[in-house]
Amino acid sequence: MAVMNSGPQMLRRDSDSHSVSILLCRWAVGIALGTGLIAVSSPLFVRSYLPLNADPVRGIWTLPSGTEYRWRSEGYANTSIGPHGMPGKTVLQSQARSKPSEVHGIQSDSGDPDAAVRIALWGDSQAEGVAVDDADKLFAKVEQASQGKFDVYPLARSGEDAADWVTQMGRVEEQFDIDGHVILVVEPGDLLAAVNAPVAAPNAEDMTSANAALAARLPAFVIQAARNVLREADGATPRRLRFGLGPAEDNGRDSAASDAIEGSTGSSQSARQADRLAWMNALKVIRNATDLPVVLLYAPLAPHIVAGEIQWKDPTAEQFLLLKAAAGELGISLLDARAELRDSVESNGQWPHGFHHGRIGSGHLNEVGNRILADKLIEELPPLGDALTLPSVERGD
Amino acid sequence: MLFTQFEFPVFFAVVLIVAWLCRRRQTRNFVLLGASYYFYAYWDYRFCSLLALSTLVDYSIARRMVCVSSVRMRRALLLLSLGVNLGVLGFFKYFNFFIDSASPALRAIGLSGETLDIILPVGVSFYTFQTLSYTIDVYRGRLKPVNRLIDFALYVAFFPQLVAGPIVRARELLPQLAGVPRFSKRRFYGGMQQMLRGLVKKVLLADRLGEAVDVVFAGPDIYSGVTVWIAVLAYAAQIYYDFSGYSDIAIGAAKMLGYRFPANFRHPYLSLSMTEFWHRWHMTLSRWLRDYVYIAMGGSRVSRWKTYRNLMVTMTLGGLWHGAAWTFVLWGMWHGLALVIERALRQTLHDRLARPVKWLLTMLVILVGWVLFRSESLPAAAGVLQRMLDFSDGVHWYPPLVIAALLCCVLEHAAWRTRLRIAMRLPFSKWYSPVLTTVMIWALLLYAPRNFQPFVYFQF
Repeated sequence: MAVMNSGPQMLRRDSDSHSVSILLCRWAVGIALGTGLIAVSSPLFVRSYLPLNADPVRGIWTLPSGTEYRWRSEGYANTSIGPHGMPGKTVLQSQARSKPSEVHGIQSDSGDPDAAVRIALWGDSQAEGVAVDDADKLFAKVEQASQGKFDVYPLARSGEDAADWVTQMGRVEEQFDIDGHVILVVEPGDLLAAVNAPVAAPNAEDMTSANAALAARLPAFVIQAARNVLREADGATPRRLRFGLGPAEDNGRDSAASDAIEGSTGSSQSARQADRLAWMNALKVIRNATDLPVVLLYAPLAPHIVAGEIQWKDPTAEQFLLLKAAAGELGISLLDARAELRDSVESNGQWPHGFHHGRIGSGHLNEVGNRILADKLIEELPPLGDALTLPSVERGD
Repeated sequence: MLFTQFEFPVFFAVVLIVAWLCRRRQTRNFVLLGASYYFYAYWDYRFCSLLALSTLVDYSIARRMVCVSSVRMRRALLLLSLGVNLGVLGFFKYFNFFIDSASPALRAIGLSGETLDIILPVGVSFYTFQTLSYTIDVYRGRLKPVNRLIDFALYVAFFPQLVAGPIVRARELLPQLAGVPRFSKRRFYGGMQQMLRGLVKKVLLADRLGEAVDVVFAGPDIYSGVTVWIAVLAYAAQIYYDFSGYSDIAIGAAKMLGYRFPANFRHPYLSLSMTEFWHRWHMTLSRWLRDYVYIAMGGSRVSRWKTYRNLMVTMTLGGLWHGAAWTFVLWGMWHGLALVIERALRQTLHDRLARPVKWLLTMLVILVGWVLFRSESLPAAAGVLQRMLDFSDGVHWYPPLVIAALLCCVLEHAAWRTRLRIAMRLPFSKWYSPVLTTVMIWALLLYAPRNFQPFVYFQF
């Protein structure tokens, strides 16, 4: 009897193991297919992670030229990376040119590249503009609006400050035969960092290099997923799991307290004096970094929508006054775009910052904002033109 | 600890392994009880004492109740349980609300009317309702008191449903805790899929929608009418995905541990009437209110006007249960009023309306209700409602991700009426299940918002 029963049992066991192996195969194929689907569709939703190159001219890490950089956060755009990591500028005019004796080219409308004034555009992510298409980036808008009179070199990079710009100024002047510098100032505090220049040259052993190696080997969606799991919301702090009991520590309280302390010291007379000195020192470093004219284009985050309210007031107005005073003393041109930004919202409801894809009215400059700033630059550049013809300001000590 | 925190998968994996390794009921229940108290203490261990107090009071009272024969004594014990449970709830949740509301009167008689700095213990509304249902059922003779304290303590504190439901009744869970569940691969897989679905709902849909909703509700005056409408629709989808996502994770987690929880949502935006809506939305709360408040007051077996009163009282209490604010009270009254009108016009008008008209009217009532529910204050709610009727200029904002998530909500509801409903559960043997499961896991890893958002219902 036992022998008779063992036949069907063995058959059932065989068929069970057969169906299990089919299921396992199906799941293995399904997982591969699902991952494939994500890999194919991820460029629509996941930003690029490109391996950074150490640019020998600029002396910093840059995005590799000839690649395309996707931005998929607020804003939604692809950026073609040009030579020396310049976002959106893929073709450079002939670098060597016979420099005109006077920069009258500014008045020229011939469209001759040799006659165009070459401007180096510096700034942070706002000037870099990866959230908008190449044709809508600030440098492109200036070139379009000037009808070829200005050839703008977009040298701004996300996360950089004046220490980085000052470090590179001399190098790019020589390489690109630059005629003047324009710095987009959104957060004036970035200028104060000029005193930290020069920044260290890229080192093959530093973290950026390691990240570059990873970016070269892994697809963007894998890196993004790993970052989300391994990093906190700020994208930088390594994630730590907490298994202790009780409420998590409130770090915000400490920072609020330190803000309050900073605020109280900032209001005192001696602190104001120190602020003035800091601004003078920072702008002196910028002034001394180049013999060429420097123009600061001030475009703060105003108007801005914060917590459901339109903030018309410039949040950094006090710093602007100090900046203005220091710039005036050192002969650095300062253009103030606040009125134009405000007017765009007041008169036709067009917000210079933000995107439908993210949040309208706050965040990075959009196409409207870049157009406003480009118009401002073109309108106010005659002083720059004059400045270009002027002997450079004597270097301070 | 919250289901969407990175610590939870580690915690749950450990609990799952240990629980299934336990072959004895007592050991298993003890492990699960310990895990549940750890889960709660992770947020704030001080409030474990409240949980324990509620457990001990109702356990003792219910056991005492069956020992006494006097009706008066039994009623006194019930009142004691109600007093302790509602007293704790009232103090922690409503003290400041009542003081704040009564402050003009208190000041008039010379009292300060100052509020206290009280932290609302997470889940207090949910576990209070659970323990109350147990004691009331024992009082009514519908349930025998449980003998083992650990079983009862686990029923109250069981971590999947502890902080935001579903509100599981004692007669649903206690019999399951009386034995060791048998492991079923099918149920385990089903639970895993339900948890995954819940995570997708919460993290990918609700949290994304919430980002846009918060911005517009913070200052509706500055936005155009269309943008405000998008935000209100987005909130309707957000709260549905947030809470039904939580419920899915809770039910799925329980299922993986071998227990069955009642369903909490059944595609509520398909409702053609407010009565139907409350049969589909937060079902475990609505049946609790029905059984322990509405029916206790006489339900619909009384005169027409008393029925209307019962509906209004039940829904107003339901609103107050959600939060200590006048917006929630008004939300409850709004729903009560809608139910009363619907009942009054059921035969004369409502039944004769075409289905699309019924649906539209129901949705309109629901959306107005959500405006009250979401707003910080009554003037803020009035501001949003006013903006919904005013299409003059303002900040225009049409976030495509929000519109995509809304579309997802519409498609999900529409699919539920078709055969896709079964496919959406992703049966293990179907070829598309591994593909979609993998896509969902990748999507969670890739597109979850970086800023952690707590569940909406945690504040209740």
